[in-house]
Amino acid sequence: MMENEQITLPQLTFLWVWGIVATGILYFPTTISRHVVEDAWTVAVPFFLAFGAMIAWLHGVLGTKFSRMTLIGICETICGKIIGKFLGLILVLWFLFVTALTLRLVGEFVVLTIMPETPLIAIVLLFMVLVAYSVRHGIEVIARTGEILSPVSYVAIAVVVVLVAKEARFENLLPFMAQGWGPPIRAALTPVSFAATTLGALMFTPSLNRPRLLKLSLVLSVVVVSTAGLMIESMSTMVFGAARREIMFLHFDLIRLIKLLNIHLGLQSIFMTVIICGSFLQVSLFYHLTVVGLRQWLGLMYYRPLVTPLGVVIIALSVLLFENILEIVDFMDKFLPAASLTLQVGIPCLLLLGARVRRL
Amino acid sequence: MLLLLLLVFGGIIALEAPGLVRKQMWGELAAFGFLLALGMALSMAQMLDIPLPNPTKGIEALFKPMADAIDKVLMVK
Repeated sequence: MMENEQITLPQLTFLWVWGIVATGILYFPTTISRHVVEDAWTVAVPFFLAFGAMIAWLHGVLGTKFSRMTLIGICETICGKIIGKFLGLILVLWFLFVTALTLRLVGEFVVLTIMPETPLIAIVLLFMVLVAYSVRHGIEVIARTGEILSPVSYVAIAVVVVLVAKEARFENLLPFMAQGWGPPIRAALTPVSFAATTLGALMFTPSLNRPRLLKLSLVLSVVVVSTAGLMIESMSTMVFGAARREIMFLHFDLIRLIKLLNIHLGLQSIFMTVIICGSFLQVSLFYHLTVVGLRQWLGLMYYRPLVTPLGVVIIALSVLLFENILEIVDFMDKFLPAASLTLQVGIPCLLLLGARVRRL
Repeated sequence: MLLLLLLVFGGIIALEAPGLVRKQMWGELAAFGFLLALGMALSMAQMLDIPLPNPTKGIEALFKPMADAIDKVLMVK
């Protein structure tokens, strides 16, 4: 058993909303604009159907079936010692990679928007010190932070969408579906590949107070993400039109436009706060998954001693992985979906199949 | 800079290691040592501009066929 931590289902839902979309709010519009412009809002439809209906269900089924084990334990139970260890290592390394990637995404955003003179490593380092501190205190603390920050952030985003509605022009959404469903589905793959990280929720099913409702919780977080995506993508297309293709941090610029009685409100600081809080939760979540997974993979009793050294590795990786922002966006657009879907949908499918065959 | 980095690693060891030894958690200590050595190697190499293999390139090479296949199926570009 883990160190006797308990989290509730609303907390899990809040956490995964940020786990999917925190840095995504910044980067998904960019990857989406590469494929669709007028129809950007339709991306929410394949996103919800492809993910909400299938992947969350799949992870939920696997999680409820083996609700007393973590993901690593599931791998070893179904596939035996050697193959199970191998799969477990791949998953731990994958989550290590995702943690480093999200950390880098936050760092790039801060550098490119408000602190262009500061070296990336300084921001990443400071951010990581805070994250490591919260991870050391366990998932309960992260979950409670999420519970406090999430409602505030949702209200802030909703207010922003309402305020910016004045600048919107409906004609920008036309023509509707000129290229068919191919490009929207292709554009949905990057958000889906982040959404598929719900596989990580299985790393702490034993800490859930009611594991039976895991499926519901995961699907609910996807519903929240889809509606938010639908609102904010349609709004940004209506405001920017075809120009959205040229803008890096679309929503950040969207918020700069807000004015009331002809006075620019400068609400981007609020947006910044929401994003930083959300990314903090996202990075903490993935970091925690990696640490807990590694603890179990090594068969250790406590994960706390692993937190700091793993943090150092993550910081080093986050700087090492990519040269610049263009490389990151290219990777997220093209390779991330393939890798993420193979590992986070392929492996659970195999596990379920194995469980069926071995009648577990 | 190098000195600062060493100081940071020294600090981490000083904070964590004595507790681990006292509670006789040898497995944890070994994992701690290995991870810290890995982190130290990675950050030192970056500071001294020693080229390292990039895991992203590996993932890209591994999944390129599948990424191309997805594009072909959905008929984009």
